[in-house]
Amino acid sequence: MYLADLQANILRWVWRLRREPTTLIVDLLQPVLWLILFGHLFTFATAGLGLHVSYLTFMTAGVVVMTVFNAALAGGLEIMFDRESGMLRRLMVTPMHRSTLLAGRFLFVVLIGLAQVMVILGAGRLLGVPLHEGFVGLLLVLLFDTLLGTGIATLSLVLAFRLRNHGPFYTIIGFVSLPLTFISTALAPLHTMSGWLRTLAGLNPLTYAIDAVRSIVLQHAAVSGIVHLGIYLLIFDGLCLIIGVSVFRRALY
Amino acid sequence: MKTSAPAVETQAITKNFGSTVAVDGVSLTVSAGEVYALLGPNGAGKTTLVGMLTTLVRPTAGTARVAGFDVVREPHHARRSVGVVLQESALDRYLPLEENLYYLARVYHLPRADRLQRVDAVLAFMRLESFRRTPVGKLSGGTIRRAEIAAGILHEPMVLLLDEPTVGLDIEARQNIWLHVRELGARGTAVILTTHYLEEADRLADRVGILNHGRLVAEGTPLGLKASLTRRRLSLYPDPPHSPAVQSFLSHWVPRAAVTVEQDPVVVIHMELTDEKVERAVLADLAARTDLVLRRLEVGPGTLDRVFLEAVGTGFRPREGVTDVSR
Repeated sequence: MYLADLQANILRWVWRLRREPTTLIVDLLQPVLWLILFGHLFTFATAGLGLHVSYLTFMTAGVVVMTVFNAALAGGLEIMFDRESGMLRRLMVTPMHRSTLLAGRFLFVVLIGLAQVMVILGAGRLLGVPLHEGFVGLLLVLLFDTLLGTGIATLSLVLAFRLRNHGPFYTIIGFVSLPLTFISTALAPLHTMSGWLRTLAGLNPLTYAIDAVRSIVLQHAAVSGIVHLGIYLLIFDGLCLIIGVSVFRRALY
Repeated sequence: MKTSAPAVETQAITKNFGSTVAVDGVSLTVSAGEVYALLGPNGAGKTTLVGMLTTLVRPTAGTARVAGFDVVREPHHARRSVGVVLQESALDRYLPLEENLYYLARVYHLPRADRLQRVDAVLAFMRLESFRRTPVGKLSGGTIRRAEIAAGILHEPMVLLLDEPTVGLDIEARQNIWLHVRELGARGTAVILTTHYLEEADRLADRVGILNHGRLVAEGTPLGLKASLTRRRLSLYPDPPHSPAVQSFLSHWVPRAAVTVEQDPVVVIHMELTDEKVERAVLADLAARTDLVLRRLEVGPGTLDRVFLEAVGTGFRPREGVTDVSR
């Protein structure tokens, strides 16, 4: 029954997305626009960064991870709306496994993020960004994006239960999204950052996901060279899940 | 449902929120096919009691069984047996009505083969077929309420809990919902509804329970409760409705009897009389006033409004638990 409940709670969001084709198109195309506009805009401004690849190539990994990050960060918002409308409470009266309400949303958000990644990588390829590691590399990119998305989406769901309404939710998303992107290696390599910025970037989980993706697909990295990045992201996910489980247990049971 | 169990049974069920006692030792039984109305002022404990029956609120003490299943020990079975229309919506406003119902059919674990048929059946029963492809957010308030009831009965529950199902609806929409509630009762579903509308309880309910400060202070059939009142009610239909004779009569009795005047659709003067002596005096006065012509005169028990006010507002307290006047 658990899988049937999970399926129902993914299908609900799929049906919603089918009813909102504009959202789907914008969600898929926006990161590609980012890639094209910023990739070309910063090409000349970043000439002194000492990159061995084109800036567009360098930035693709950043856009991939940023896209998953933003999708996951906003992922809890719909659960917040369900909470505000009372629908969540009403659904808790049904015999379904309550955890599938969150797990369904979580999986949907991660799947959408991964679909966006595929579109970005496809667009990057058309723009001349190489995908050196082929299919295995693609799977590894999706794995690292999933590792980042897991922690961030869990935190987003935590916010959905801890905040009183969606107003502060939007404020927090706005406050966190851009600074975390800038304090990471999405737009510039770590060695170009000043001391304190480098320290902060070194603590940012986005940096680890971006470095891993950049290594795997764009720079012929050996898998052994990115295992530690995966471990760091697993620790991050573990901490997020510990917080999440305690919040969700109180909210749902 | 467990065999021969009442549809709903609570034994001294209690819920405390900190030092506040929201529900205080309520015991009630509702049978299959019975429509039971829970009345009470704001904060009386109605919604908390419904919350415990739906497994959303955990009782502090006492027990509650729905279709024979204990709401604390067997919550999963209890949830299968109960349909709920809460003040909160069960429906996703961006999805069409039928997709909402398909989603709920899945989470209520209806067999795949039955889902389509059940969705069609509840849409037909609630006369919602023409709205099946309309996003719920575009439906009117009354239609959404009907849709909520459709969602509540989708899995054919033994018990349907309606928490203020007609609040904010116009009279036509309310009557429409009453029609469906009566039909559900006739089909054997036990219906418990909370309402602020006493007329609703009077028209719909087989039995009424009045909660005040978390306690069940009165319970019985609407007729039985009205008959238990010490006050009687006199309804006069003057013809013409506004004459000096009517004014003279009113100014004479207003200080001595509780008088309300209904204006629409016809003028009716309702007098709540404290005892038979006053009643005899009023009738004698009416007989003496030859200039006051009445089209109709009704003498009978008081209204459910009066029962309610006596139970919650004028210090009415049963000596030993509940005042049961259903027999």
